[in-house]
Amino acid sequence: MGEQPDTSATTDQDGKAITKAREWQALLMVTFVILPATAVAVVGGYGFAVWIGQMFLGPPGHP
Amino acid sequence: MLKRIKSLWRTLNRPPVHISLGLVIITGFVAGIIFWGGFNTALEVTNTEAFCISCHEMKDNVYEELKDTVHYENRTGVRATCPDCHVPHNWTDKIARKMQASKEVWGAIFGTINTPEKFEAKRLELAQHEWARFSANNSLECRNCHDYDSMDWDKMGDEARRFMKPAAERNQSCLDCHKGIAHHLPKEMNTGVDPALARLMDQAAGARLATGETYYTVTSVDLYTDPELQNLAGYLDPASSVNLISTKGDALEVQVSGWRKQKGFGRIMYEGFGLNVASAVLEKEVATDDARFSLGESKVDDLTGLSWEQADITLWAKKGGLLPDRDALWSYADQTYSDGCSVCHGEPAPGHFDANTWPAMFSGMVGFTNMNAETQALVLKYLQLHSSDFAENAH
Repeated sequence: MGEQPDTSATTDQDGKAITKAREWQALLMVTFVILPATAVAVVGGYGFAVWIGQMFLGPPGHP
Repeated sequence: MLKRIKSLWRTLNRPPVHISLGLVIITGFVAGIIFWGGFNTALEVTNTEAFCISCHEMKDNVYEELKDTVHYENRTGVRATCPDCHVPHNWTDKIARKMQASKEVWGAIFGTINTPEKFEAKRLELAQHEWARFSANNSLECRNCHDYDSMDWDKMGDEARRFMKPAAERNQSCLDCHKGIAHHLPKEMNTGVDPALARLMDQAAGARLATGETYYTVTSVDLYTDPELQNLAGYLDPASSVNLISTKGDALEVQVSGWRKQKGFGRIMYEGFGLNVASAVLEKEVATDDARFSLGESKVDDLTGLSWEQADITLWAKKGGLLPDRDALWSYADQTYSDGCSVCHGEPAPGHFDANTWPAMFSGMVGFTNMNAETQALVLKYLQLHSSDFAENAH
């Protein structure tokens, strides 16, 4: 792998160390919790929007 | 909490230093597959009959009704489940329908239709939602299986073809005629009283009667052997004529005149000789008690070989069901007839058939309409008494 930079010294703006655990937590949190929840919310929101549209425009017609 | 979000954001806002880019990509890829599969699986689970009937509201009401229909059990074993008809298959409309189901979740939590009574009270409204949907999409969910273009007219029964073919030419929405095909119709459509008929009943309730005159029933009227109206003797059909003999309190003494078949108990009184137009149906004890009748001539109907006798009987009925003429009844019946039939096809003129043909014609078709039993009897009588046997310009 060659010479690795001294990552243990990497810090954020507040000077707190960004540890390996923090990165893993962030990765898993985003891919398995936040993004799926967002996707469901977006699809659900789209569904509600279409439903509300149907309240004014009537039920969907035939294609 | 806010600190945690800030900390997460700072980690995400810069390149990773401990995790390789490859690992990040793989994790994202795998998470994407799991999410996509999970989302679809969850969507499909909510689109099964087992899921629908996990609520007793669905299981005890609509599912039980479906079980008696051809869409549940038939000779080919192909069947429709709840979502086949009730959930749009197109993705956008399906998602919108899934969101609408939040209302059903609300209803399940707060018990909006958790008893048969509550369900019945809401049935018409719920049915109207579905009918509006089917009407707007031209019964798309039916047509996912049934297709006008795939119908073999030669294999269809004559009667079915007579109505399906014109419907196919107009690309008519299935539910225009086939309401109630999978669940019971709302009682408002089956047994509720039509407002126009209710008006006639109100008129009859307030009508002034004079003895010796002829009157007509609006709806069926019970007959009794005694003025106290205790012993049931039978009933008069709608639009049947009676002669008022006397009045005693709330009771009317009426004479019913007609013809009976001299076969069986002679329980049914008909409007005329050889005409299967019923005017009254009597209890067996009354019909077989010859002393109650004054009998007239008897004749044999050559067509059937049955002998008929002219018979009069005097019985008692409750005040309030009689009108002095049938004009209003006939115009109501005529309107109902053309309204009910023209939904699907041009209705034949009443004079197109004879009085004895109408009952079979009518009973074959009336199931497609929303006439209640009283209205059906009235309309049938209207058709029979305006049939080719009576009309002047008949076919």
